[in-house]
Amino acid sequence: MSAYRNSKARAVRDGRPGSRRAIGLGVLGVLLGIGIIAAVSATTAQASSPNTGLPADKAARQQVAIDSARNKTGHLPSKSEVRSQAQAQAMANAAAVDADPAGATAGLTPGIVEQRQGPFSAAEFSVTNMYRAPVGARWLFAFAGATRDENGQPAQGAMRVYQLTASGAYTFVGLYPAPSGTGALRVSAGAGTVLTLATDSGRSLTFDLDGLSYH
Amino acid sequence: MHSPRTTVARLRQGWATLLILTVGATVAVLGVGAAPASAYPGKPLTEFSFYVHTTNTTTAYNLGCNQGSFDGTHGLTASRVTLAYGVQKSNLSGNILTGTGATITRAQVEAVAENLALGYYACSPLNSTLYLNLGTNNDNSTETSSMGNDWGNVVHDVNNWISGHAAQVLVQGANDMEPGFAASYSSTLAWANGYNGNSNAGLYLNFGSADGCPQTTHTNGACNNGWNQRGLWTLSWNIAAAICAPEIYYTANAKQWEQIALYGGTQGNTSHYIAVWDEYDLNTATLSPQGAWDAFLTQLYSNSTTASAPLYSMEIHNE
Repeated sequence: MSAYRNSKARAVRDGRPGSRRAIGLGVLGVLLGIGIIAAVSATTAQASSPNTGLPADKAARQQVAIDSARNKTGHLPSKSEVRSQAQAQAMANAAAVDADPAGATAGLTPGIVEQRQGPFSAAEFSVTNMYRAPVGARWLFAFAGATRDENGQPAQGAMRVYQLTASGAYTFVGLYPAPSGTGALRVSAGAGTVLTLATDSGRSLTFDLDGLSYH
Repeated sequence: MHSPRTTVARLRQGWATLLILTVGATVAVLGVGAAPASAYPGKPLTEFSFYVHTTNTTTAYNLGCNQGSFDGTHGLTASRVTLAYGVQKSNLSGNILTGTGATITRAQVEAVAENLALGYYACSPLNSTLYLNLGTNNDNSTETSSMGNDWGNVVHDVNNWISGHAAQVLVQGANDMEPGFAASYSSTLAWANGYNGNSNAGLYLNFGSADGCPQTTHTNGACNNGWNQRGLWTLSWNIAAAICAPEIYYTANAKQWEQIALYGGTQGNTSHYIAVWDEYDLNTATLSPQGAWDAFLTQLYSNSTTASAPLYSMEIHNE
């Protein structure tokens, strides 16, 4: 019992300086390890530009473009000057918009537009073509095609419709799946708000932009 | 003179010192250097890109001013915005806008970009930079090298204008390259090579998709419409001018782009990505910015050769 007590007391008494040394050495070891990582990281980082995250060849190419467009005049307006000019320009633009009630829709003509691009990825909806027409106070844009599944494969024939108002707001109206089994859709003709759709399956459908429904 | 007992004790102490140092260094290296695969960086703030629908320069100025204010509010020193102008016309006179099919002239393309840059300059703090990507797409069945070269000229024109009117904005090209659009792979490659051949154009950002590409293999597998993994790697990274912000709308997309990066590794040039691109604002059925980030970074950090975090989170909006 007393031997136990004595040994424990000795450990406490004699061991404390040893523990401090061990802790100190451990900390030194950790710092050494961090130093190794920092050195390796610095070596790796040399391959890329620190500000842009670009590899050296791409960063160099970007620099050539920057140099080729360097300011030749030496004069640059201040931020406040730019803000003042912008206010004046905004007022002039507002007056021009007031004078033209068609606004963002000016210059649009109704009809079929042969394009596949839409404000969405071709990976989620493949467009065959598009039809646009004014309906009331807005313009509608009806994309004919087919939805795609997550793997990018065709899923179901559908119309995807957007609208643009004179104020310039362009928004999604809705997705209108065709009756099942029709395959991808194509606008083959349009008269006003009524579209004739050809389908992959050989069927013919009509789609009414007024009611946004198939017939 | 030391006694043999003291010498043995010192030897033991020396070995103990060495052991502790070794263990400490190992713990540090393992703890910091070899983090678990899932420990990827957090998502940066998400910045807005736009489908251009109008040619109104005040609208463009306000978009730039909004981004400048955003950067100031959040202390950002770099941000990235893409303007998507739709497909280029073959005669190089302008673009056909996405969504409406309206025409925008080449001069209007430049004016919109210049006014956005002006707005950014006016409203941003002094220490920030905007990377402004002028975007077209490959929905032209006759996409050519001349079109790529000319888009590089548009970029150079705008950079030139900015250098005399504003600062803190660097313009780059961009192209929404998708296998599902009208251009074949070879036509799209011609565009990319044409841009790349314009030494004043700098970089272009591919913000496209990888429709139909493999999700679990990287042996140059097929994608939709005759494209393949090698083609997407070439357009997105291997061409000197190319950088990429892949569309991550579904988890499948994250897997596809990871496999394309790994394919690059087999060619000695692993792809890295500058941004994660989402469209949640336009379609809430797709991944949110955080969801896209998590899905993509989970994939990237599942392999040590691709474990590198994009710098930006970008989201497409309607203007």
